[in-house]
Amino acid sequence: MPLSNNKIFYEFNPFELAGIEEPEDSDDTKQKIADMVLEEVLNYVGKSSSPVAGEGWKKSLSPEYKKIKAKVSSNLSANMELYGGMLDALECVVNSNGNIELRITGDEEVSKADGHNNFSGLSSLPQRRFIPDEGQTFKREILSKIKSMAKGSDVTISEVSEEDDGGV
Amino acid sequence: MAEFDKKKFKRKLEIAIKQKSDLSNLKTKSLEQVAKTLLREIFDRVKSGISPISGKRFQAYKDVKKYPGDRKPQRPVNLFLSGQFLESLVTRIKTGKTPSITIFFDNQLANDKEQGHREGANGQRKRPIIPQGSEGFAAGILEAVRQVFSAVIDKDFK
Repeated sequence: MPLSNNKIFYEFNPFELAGIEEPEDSDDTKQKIADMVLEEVLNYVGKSSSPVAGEGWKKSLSPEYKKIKAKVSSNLSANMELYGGMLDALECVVNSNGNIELRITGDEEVSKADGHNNFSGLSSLPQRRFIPDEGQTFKREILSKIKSMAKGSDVTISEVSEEDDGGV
Repeated sequence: MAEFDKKKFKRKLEIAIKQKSDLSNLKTKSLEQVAKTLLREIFDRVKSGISPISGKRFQAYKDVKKYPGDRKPQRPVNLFLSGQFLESLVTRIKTGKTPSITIFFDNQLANDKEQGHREGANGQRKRPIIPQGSEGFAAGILEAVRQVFSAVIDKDFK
């Protein structure tokens, strides 16, 4: 079960998702995909949107919570952020199984995260899932990027630093 | 006013595709579309408090009472107050055999702000948004650019 006292997580293998065999030298690719997934999840949440397929939530807050949040922040949308601790704890890593794991660890932050994601089924808060549960996956845009990065792209991008550039 | 150093905070992305060594027939409008994607991806991330270089969240303000105080929410840290800094970020495209997109600030004040972010001026945390040296744009930004570029290539080279 993707929830314990000190961890809430979603684990996946990007090559399985892409329907291809995992290449031997996949470590670098997996790390880049992990980095991308974290960015995308934070990006979605920052826009008060769920990165999980089939999930979503209202941007507005309940009147009661709005009063609480207004004492701390002028951002009164449901962006999963009051002081920032929970989202600061969100990470995406390559785990010991060689899979990618989107996760939050630490008792306090896991408790908050389950409050929103409700993997336990015990939360009374409006469900605002930003970590896929078992049987779920990411939204199409994120999945598309995972698959594309796993398969490798024919497009190469070279970034030129100002020292190498001969002119504007 | 002295001409500011346009070269200081700029980054050029040269884009290529394996199957075609010469992309001279790529339409200007198509490359503009790719450039818009790059800008949008950077804006989206910064507004959500994510570094477009590391892909990680910008760290919290050191003293929230001092800054941002009442000016704006303390989280996410999104480099957005009036919007002038981010709105100064522009692109220049160059079509040809190897198309490129150069991203830079179009005024001195924004350039100075980026320098402040890069150096951690006045004790602030370092929060640059234009990669320098061996740094690069975050993986998600580059992948978004790749996908749009693939799509326009498919369209222009049918």
